[in-house]
Amino acid sequence: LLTGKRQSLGRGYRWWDRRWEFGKAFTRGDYFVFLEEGSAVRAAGLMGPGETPISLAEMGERPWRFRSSGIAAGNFLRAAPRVHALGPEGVTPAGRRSRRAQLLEAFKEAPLPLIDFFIKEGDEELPFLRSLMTPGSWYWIGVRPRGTSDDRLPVYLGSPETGADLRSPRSLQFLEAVPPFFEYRLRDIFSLAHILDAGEEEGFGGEGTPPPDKPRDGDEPGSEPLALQREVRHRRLLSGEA
Amino acid sequence: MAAVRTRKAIAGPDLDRIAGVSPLASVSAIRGVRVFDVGQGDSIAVLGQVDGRVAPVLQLDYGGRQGSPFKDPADIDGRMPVPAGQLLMLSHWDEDHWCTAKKGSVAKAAKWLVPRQVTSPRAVLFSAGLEDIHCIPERYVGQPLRFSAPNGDYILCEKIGPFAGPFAKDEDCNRTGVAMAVVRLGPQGAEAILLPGDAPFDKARIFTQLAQENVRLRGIVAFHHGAGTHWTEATEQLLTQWPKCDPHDVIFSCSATNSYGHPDRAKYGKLLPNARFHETANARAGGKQHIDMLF
Repeated sequence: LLTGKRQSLGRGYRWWDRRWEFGKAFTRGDYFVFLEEGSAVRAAGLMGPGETPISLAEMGERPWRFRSSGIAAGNFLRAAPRVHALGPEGVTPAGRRSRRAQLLEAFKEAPLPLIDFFIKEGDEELPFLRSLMTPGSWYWIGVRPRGTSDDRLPVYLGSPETGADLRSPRSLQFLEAVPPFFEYRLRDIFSLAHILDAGEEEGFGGEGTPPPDKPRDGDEPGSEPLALQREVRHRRLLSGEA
Repeated sequence: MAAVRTRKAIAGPDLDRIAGVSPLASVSAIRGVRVFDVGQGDSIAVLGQVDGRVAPVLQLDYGGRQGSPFKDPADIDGRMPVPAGQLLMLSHWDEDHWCTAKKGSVAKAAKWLVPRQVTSPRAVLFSAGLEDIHCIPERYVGQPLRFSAPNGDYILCEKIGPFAGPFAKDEDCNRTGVAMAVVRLGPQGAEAILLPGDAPFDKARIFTQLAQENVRLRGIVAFHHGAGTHWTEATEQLLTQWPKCDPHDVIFSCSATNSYGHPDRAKYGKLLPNARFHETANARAGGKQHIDMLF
């Protein structure tokens, strides 16, 4: 499950199938992106993701911008096997520290650009995008070179740390849901699971105060958020452990 | 009688014990807040009286994106100093609330206390690079967490919404982050400055509790950089009915030009007609690096 090799969890399911790997289903220019916001913006004075000015003359005064950050699919597929899944049993101080080290090692050379794509207000596809694209969710997009008569949606990539902006837009070739197992890995890896709670171990806080009368689900020792519980049950069912 | 009601309503776990630091232990009085000009975003220091001088004692957010004024890392560190080991809290994980820390160096050496949220891969990798960072335990969601100064002044924090797990979809990080209020016990009663981050005012119980306890409103750093969206009737009622200090101030922390059209001055002007309004962008135009709102 964790090595990236072809997997069958006891019943023939191939969650990490070689067909999905870089150079096959995924090509250069494919990204997994986390949507940060989608909103109408003012075209005048608009800055790209690398904080350099961009021009969207053809988009009108109030285009919609879908701002995401993400990782090239190939980079993620190469790095993900080096980060072990951190299920409920792994959420310990030692498990969190191990996760942190794995994150820093696995992604030390992987760019994580900001990626903006734009659509004109009133475009017939805007209602679809507004309805489908939800901040806090992951998507699989294809970004390709833009031709002279290209009418696909313009995409800008950049990094505010380096100021490196692609000043000429590329084109959004496609927008897809992330295949389920990849979404599981994206959400698990790009989580704050590596950060300890204050008081989780000695040295930062004491938590000498009593908990409230009605703690949330998942707050008691040994209990985890319901979504995670469901995921673990599902995996165990598939692997025949349940 | 009023004092008894205040103590009962706003009592909560000591954040000193949860965080393991006491930022107000050596503070003789809370003096106010300093809102730095960072362009589009937030970076706010709580100011205290320490050994006869005014000093930053706690940092909330360290952001700024579009229209950032900083020339280089040294410029960031010089304008927004954070002593090593000082507490730095995040209101939430939107990049315009933390990204300047990535470019500078002093903030990385702070003691970070943050909300656990679904967030971006950039935020995750940034946080992994910090040596001293912890999350507010989820068991305290919805509770007023309190730092207290020896003279009775205090800071209230609240994680306003629960983290539903990394696989939960549609988490709105503006509604699961941290809101803060800085309270001074002045000669005419308690006064508060509200630091809501990007959260609508009425989502923070600490704010409604302070209003109910007649803690007068000294000022606000406008939520979401002065956005005119996500206003509710409850927010408008809360702000219009809140007993206010004279004067009272509103600070908009945003860049002079921004793609969002922040701030919505008319919205605030209608609800707080007697307030004094300030913008970090105007401070820059006047040669200033920050705006202080003092009690």
